[in-house]
Amino acid sequence: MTRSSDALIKRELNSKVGRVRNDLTLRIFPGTSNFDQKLFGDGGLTFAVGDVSYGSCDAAWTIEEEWMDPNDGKTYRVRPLLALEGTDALNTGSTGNAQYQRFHHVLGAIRSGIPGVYYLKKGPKPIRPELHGMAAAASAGGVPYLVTDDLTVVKGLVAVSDDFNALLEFAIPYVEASKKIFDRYVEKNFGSMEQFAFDRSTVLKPSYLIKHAGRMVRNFTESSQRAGHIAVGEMFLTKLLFADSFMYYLFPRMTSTEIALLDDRKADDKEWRILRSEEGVEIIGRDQLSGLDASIDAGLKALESTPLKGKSMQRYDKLVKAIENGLRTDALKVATAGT
Amino acid sequence: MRKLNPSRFLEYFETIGESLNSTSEGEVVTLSSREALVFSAQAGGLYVFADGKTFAPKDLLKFFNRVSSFEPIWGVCDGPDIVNSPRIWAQEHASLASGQKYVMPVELDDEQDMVTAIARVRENPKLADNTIIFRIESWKKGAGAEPFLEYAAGRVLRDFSTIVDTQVTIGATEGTPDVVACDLSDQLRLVMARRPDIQSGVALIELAALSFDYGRSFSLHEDHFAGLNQLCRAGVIALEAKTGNAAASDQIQKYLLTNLFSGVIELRDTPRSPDSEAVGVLQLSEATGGMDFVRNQSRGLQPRSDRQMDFLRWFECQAIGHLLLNLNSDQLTELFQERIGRPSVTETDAIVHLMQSLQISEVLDTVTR
Repeated sequence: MTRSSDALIKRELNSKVGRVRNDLTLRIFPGTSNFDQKLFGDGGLTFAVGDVSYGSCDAAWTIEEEWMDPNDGKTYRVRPLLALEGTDALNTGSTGNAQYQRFHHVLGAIRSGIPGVYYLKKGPKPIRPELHGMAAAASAGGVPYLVTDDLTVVKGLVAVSDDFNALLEFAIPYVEASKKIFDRYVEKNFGSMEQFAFDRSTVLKPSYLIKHAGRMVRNFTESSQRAGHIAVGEMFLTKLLFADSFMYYLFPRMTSTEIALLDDRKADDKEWRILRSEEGVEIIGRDQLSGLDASIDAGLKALESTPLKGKSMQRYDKLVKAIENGLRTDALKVATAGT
Repeated sequence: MRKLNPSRFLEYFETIGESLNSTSEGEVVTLSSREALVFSAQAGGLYVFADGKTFAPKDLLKFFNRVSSFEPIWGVCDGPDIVNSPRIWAQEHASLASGQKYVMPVELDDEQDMVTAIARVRENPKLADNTIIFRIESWKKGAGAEPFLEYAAGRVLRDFSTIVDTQVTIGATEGTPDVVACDLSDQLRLVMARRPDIQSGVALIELAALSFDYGRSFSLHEDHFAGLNQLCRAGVIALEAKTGNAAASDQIQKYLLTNLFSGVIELRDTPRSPDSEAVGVLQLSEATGGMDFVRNQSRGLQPRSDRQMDFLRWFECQAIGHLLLNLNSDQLTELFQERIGRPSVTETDAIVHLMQSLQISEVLDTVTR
């Protein structure tokens, strides 16, 4: 999001929501600040689980009460009640995966036991049903994650946020509504989750799945943030909506050697760490498929650094279609699957 | 190379001819109300008021979310109403529009430092209502320097008679240059003829704050800006701010591919070779304390004239919109009725229609009445 979109969302939160009650505080920083990147306990808006930070939230409502961070076991004087990430994606023409590239920012809070909201400022574009599905699935652990374009919902949540049971009572109907929105969308457009998976470059197997994406090494080594965020967004979409399956995240334009290289070079990169540390997810390269035809391997190697558009996109699609068919028929297998 | 800190901040303003003053909270820069507004809106300053409130105008005066769009977004307008303008802000705090303002650089390692600074300003009757805190974060790689560079570049570009704005979104894939400067010479000459307070280029927000006390230093040293004047006359230029060793290549490449800009410039606080030969470099100078145009682009860009004309027309609309913000609701309604020939439905409707229908000269007639 541009800095001005960021500023507008925060301004809206300040002027239209505010702290809601006098005993609560709205923790929010100017768009130009880096303080949101500090961990919550250190005065910031970032939540971590283990040594994985989930990105910074845009705002949090807090109360002056002792709080033990489940992540580091330390006790702090301020308790987080609700975390929020905002986006102007519905006004900036984002109809696709850009809508969920920041979904994981609030996930850190959810996984730390703090309810969260992904607020998309109302606009001409609709909230993608997949986002509703992701939020409903993320709420399955008992901590609600809401997706909304309505600030009165945010206000309502904040008003009861210091009482977890009251918050649950408020939030559960919204979580259920999100699930319905997603289920209706799948029913109407795909008929089944299997077809939904098919449409999303995902091959379903009895106990695992393979999701593939055209990521290349440069997407993670160069300064563009967007590719890393998109990869994480797509990962969480698949992982949450197919929660019972182990997920192999296949990057056909990469090999295991390149993945190891990224492990080394991008050890401190937030998005790469999330991708590599998420339980139940393994990133694999094309060399980790047994039975891969040498010509397909060569074709993908030739495209390993090429932006996918025009003719290169057509070539890539053809190669990846062949891989997908192979995985469906078991002509191709993930070498380590089931081990 | 020194990172931006309060000392370098103050040195910059002193170099460009603005006054420094000593206060109980340290040295501050003294600016006119109008220039303080420009600074706060572009660099990100926080007004501190005695009544317990604070105010940050940065990025509030947006009409539309991107170039060529006339769909109003939350910013100036909120649904049917105009909610943000210097006139409206000054109604709540009259001190915004008059008197000298103190810009106080405060270095922060923690948000509590900001809370303390605000409290101390508020306790001082001379400072409260007249002070703008500029935050310079020292944690991690720091923050504050890029918006400061945007303002500093804007000062130079205004001195070269362009109209300047920050964070102008071209498109979702085409990017958002940190600074855009347009040569609207004919229109600017009209404004200057009617307004003795505008004698060179302007920041867009200035056009919305014509009732604010004005005044700023001019400190063009031609030898530091060789080539920049010609670039400013060429049409539209885009600038991308980066600090330290951060690369600007991705954004620069996007701007070059738009075929919209006559010039693209990297804006820096540290000497660094540009990521592309095609761009110039405007840099905060360690030696002089001010800005230097250290390198011109190696070749002229060939923007598409239709693209540039569309952009300039849209940008002119923004200028008209900012001028219209000097009017109150009744004046706006009256102008709408007079020029469009029917009553407006809402304030937003009125201003957006007028922006698209009027010439700058027609607006100036009303605003200077």
